[in-house]
Amino acid sequence: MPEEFMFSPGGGGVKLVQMVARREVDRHKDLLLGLTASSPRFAANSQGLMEYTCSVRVGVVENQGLVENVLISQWAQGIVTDFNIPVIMERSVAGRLTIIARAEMILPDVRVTSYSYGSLGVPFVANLRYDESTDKWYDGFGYESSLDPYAEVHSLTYYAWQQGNVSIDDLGEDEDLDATYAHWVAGG
Amino acid sequence: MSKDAWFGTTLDGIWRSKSLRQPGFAVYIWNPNRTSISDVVMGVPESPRYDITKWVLSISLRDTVAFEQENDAVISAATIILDYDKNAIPIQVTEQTLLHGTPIRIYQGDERVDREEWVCVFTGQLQGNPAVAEEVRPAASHRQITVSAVDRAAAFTNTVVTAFSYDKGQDIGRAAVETAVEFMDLNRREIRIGYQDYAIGHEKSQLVDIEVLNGIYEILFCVGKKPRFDSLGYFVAADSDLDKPASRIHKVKDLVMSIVRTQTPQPVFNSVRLLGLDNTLSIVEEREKRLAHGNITSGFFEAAVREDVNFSEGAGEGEGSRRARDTRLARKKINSLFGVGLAQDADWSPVTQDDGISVLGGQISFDTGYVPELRVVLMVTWFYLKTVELVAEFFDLIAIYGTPAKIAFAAVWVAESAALLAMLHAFSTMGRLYWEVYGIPFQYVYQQLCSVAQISNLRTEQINETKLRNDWLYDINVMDARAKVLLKRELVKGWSYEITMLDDPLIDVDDVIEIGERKYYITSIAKVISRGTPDMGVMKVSAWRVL
Repeated sequence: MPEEFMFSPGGGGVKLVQMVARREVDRHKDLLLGLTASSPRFAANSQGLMEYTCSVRVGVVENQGLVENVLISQWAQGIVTDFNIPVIMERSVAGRLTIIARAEMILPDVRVTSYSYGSLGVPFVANLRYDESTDKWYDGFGYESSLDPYAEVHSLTYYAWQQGNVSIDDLGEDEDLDATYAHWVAGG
Repeated sequence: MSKDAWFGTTLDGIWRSKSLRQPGFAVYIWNPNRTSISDVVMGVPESPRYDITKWVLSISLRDTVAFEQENDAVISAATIILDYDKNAIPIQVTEQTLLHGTPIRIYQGDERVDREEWVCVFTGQLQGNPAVAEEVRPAASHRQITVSAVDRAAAFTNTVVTAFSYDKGQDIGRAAVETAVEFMDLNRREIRIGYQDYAIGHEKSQLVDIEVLNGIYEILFCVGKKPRFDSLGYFVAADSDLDKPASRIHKVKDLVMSIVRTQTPQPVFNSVRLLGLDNTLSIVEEREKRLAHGNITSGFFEAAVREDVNFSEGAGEGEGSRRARDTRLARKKINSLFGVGLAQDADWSPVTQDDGISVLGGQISFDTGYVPELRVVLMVTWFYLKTVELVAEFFDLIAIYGTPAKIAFAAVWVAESAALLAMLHAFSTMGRLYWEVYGIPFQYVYQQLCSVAQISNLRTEQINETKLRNDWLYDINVMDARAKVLLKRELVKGWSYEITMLDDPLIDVDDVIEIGERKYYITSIAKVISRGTPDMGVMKVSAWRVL
């Protein structure tokens, strides 16, 4: 049983309530694209996992475009009939699209907290040297480090967010329906 | 730190200092056919204790941290080499006494201290059959016998259980203890686990189909502890906190022979994703869709229609298994010839569940507009008029009374025909309603909680994440704290050391020791206890640097 899935109480059918997968928080924001998948076409793959092919539209204002026939592996058990799926994808520098997050009807309450080595009590793990005279940190090569082992703790919270019936046609016309990074992150 | 009773004793003073040592050890066994390891631990063995120390040549002892990596051994183990002696007193030292399951305890101490004050460093049972040198040349040479012993955890590594269900509000310590009592057959006096000050958050929580030690580990994970059997054989919840006080502080490194940072070829996890399960139900809605459909044929034969409808997920599933809200009836098509208006007033009455919004089904109802009594009236009227007509014809009343009779006869005939037509119309009043019920399906689910702790300023390709899931966690704030601790734990795993130092039997795995300005969390201890060898009195400690 894939651990992303949970059961509805009382032994009902398996429901698609899935965590947001790997999230990237405080970096490369411009590479995070909000996408919404719709009109999925379902099929079981050779491993018995359910897959669907759908069209997704990039949700950022600039560089919008339709990406067709994106294959998304779905760890589904039971019957999936019809739903709209907000997904987050990451576009690499080379242009390759990788799905890094999926969310079905409800998103989990996700908190991401980034810590410095110092705040964890293990500043030595950073492998840096502190120079009192300059009040700066240096790496082993003698260069000043941009990494501060005692940087402040940074915390982000994602919405427990339900998009409802998002149509592929809605994207780009109404920013409130745009599942972009900014709409997924509260605070930060 | 299960050996805290020995701290402050003479032995403690010897082992914490660099003063002269006269290390000693003792090995005892019990008759496995007369006593169990539990009896030994609780101090009520039926069998006498047999001292076989004199025949022991060497003991290789290793204790390892558990539940840190997938391939962690849960158990501590000892390999003991003895002189084979059939004439030993009080019992022979042969394969007939060193049996599988024989309870064994190993003690360490100092020859200048009374044996009864020595420290028990291992409690377990012999495992498997011993290796015996049966023929050795020259004949005067010592024959040796080698046995392996494992601690009590070994007995439970393959014990899969489905434990009791616990209600919301109960302490997880109770769940851990009761599981150990009921499914590990431990006596409560063998268990040194108490309340953990962490209440179960879900309505029902239960270990299902899981190895018992792993299951108890899942429970104790919530409070940063893990189950293990200590050196005395007691079942304890070891505190895995990296920041706990050091059990040994060596400001100078007199006792240390070497500290070597070991290679860690695998990249260190710099991100920890911890998953839990919310203890309050969330609603997951789908878009509005057809929940049920069908048709109803009705008409003159009934005055009203009452059709029960239940929502189902699909073929093969029980009716009433689908939950929805905001349900409504849609009339798709009505086929009717004379029954114009049939089912136009069809009504939908959803049956709402106790939660106030859930609807699993309902009832479609409408009146056909037909009064059953009217049919009787018409039939009686027609029969009466027909009778009148027949009587009139039989007595030939027209011939007797003339024109007035003709007029009356015509009126009767018209009334009779009207009654007949009315009956025919009534019997033709029927039709078929094609109906559909729409609504918004939804499910109650426990939302997954997710807390991620990671090192700041990492690029995508630098993230190396490990994912842990524990459904006993339900508070996102607690999860944040646990994720932070786990992240630190993963980081320090990349700073592993091997420390060779003078033996200190009071040190345990999961202890923190301070050497110089640094602190180390001990993950394994290995030592060879052997008379007259250079290794005697030395231990090798694997540890993570935590400060």
